[in-house]
Amino acid sequence: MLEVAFLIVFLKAYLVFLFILISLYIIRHFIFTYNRILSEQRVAYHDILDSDFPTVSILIPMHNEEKVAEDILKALINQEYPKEKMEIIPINDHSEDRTKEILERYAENYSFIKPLHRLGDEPRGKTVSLNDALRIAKGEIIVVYDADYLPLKGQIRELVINFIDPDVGAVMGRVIPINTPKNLLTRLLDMERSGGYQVDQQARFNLGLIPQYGGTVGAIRKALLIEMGGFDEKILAEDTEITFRLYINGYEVLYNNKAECYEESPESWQARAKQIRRWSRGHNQVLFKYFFPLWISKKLNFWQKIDGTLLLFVYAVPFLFMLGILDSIALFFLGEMEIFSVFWVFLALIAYNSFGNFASFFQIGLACFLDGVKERIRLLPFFYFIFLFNMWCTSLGALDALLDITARRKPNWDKTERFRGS
Amino acid sequence: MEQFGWIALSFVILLLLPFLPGIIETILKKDIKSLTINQNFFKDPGYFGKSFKSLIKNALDNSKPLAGNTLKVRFPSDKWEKILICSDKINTGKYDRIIIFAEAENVTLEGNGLLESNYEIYVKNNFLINKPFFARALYVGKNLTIFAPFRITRWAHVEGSCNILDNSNLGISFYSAEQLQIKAPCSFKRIFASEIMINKGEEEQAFQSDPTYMEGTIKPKGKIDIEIENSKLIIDRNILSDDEIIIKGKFWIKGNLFSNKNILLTGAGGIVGEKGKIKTLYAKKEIKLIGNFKVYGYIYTDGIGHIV
Repeated sequence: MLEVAFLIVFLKAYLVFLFILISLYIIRHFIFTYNRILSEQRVAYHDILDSDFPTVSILIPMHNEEKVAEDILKALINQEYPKEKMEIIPINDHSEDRTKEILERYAENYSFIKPLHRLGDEPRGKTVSLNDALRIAKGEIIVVYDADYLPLKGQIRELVINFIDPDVGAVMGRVIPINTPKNLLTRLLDMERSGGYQVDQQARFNLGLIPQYGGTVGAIRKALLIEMGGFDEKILAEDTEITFRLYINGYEVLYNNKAECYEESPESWQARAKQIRRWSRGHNQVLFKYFFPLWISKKLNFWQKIDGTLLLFVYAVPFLFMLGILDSIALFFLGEMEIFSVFWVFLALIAYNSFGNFASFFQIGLACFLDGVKERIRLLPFFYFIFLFNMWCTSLGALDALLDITARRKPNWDKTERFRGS
Repeated sequence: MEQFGWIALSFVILLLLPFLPGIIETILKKDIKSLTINQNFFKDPGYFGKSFKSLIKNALDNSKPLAGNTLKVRFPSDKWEKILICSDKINTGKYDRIIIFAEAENVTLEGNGLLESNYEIYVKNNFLINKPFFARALYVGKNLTIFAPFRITRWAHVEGSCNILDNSNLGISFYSAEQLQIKAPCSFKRIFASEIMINKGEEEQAFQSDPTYMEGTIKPKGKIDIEIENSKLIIDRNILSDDEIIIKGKFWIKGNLFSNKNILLTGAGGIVGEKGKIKTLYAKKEIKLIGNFKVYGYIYTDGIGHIV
């Protein structure tokens, strides 16, 4: 009997904890939205013209990228950046399609394209590929693109100019899906991306919090990256990991909302599920690695620690929320649900269930407004289903991360499927 | 049973109601395009003039002559416009079409009053503005001299050098490929020239004897307020701030100046940048330059700039 009473107290306490956590996230998203629409916007250094260009190495990890490889190489060849100051290192990571031939053909015609072929027994994956390329890269600045990206003509300059600020360790640009019209999923992902960049990232930059380096359309100081030991090969979310490592070491990530770049969104729910699961797994690995170092570090201020913590938990919350649903079902059958008899508490939980972790109604709605698109705002209620979908995939990713740490297993990189030309 | 049917129907309607606009949009696909990114975009302060020049060249190839020195030309948008072709002079007055001076080496204004146009003006060679001049945009193929009140609402592009000797509003973008001398009060948003001399300018030789050096980029938290008395300050890199930047005295900043608020430069004379290089003086809200300065490159504000 005592055990049951103890269990009920525990289950109720968990729900109270969850309610506080959910409230914190709602407040966070509301502050970001409010900041983006009503506060002074901070600009990055992209409007500076400077004839002193640093040398740049552009790294593009590629595994079976024949569908997209030529497009990104053409876009980079077309860059308005002195060619003698830049090198492109496409990393052919055990490709079994025509990727190698495409890269070799371009390397023959352009001396600044220097493919790196990773074959045989070398381990496969984005972080190991990047580390290999880092060893041969000659540039002062490392720019990373995923193979499906299409940088515009002035983008390298717009990213790199921000390093005139010695406090800047990394720079992140804005990602915009190119295949939005394809289907309902791509339309919703486009809106989700808008909310994430146009509002969330910009607000964090405005408020001096922790904008996130996203692993693509981004740049990092090479000397700093090498000094910090390169990319962590055990972690799938190398972008989030680098973000926290930079902040803990006293550097910042600068978000440049003007450095826009097209990407290809997943066009099938299966591909999207795999992508989110991988993101969640990697992000939660970073949570386990950096939760305590974040709070111990003297380089971050209090609000950065708060934002950093909430950022670290972003992919853990859906899992915790799913446990909360199970918790409430258990309490219901135990006849102990009166904890939520207070109407507004219940309402808040329902609201969170509808709005989801991405705060679609605040952030995505505002992002669409700022981007000057109107009709697609009508799709916002569908984010209820996206939230449920994300919650499931994210929870699987969180479980993967838990198993990684308990079973000490090394995760394999599972590349997102490409759809261009199909 | 009938009552249950109505309740069930109401339930289904109420359940679907929030999704109805989304369902309609999913079917009608009114707003389905990706957000637009211009893949050819790169930062070029001379962009307006260069694209206008190529537009005019192409348009003249697709022209039809009309009476009274007028041509009808077709632009890439398939829009037909009337263009007035002039020789070396034009009378002041109000004009409602693009004006082109295609041949004369030197072009001037005649008559009393002002020349006013809501269209672009293209001058192939030198242009001397000796009467009040208000236009939407101006392209000059060689040198431009302004010694009457001058106002541009959009942009001006000068392939040679430019001398401004009367009150001016330089519009959204003012570009001069060579030297730009500004010797009268003016307002602006963006000015670019390989060398911008403001009022009497400033010379590098003035910093040869006993300067004070500051090395590295300066980026303190909060406002930057530097007052240099009886000395000369050389900063070899950039000054960056999310707050206001105020510099009084004699200074030479070899890098860029950047503020997320205002910049005020005043005092005994200053230089930004180095000969042969391009550097930028940027303030998000306001730039105010009071005194003699030389800037190699770009002066840019999202708000308003004043030269006093």
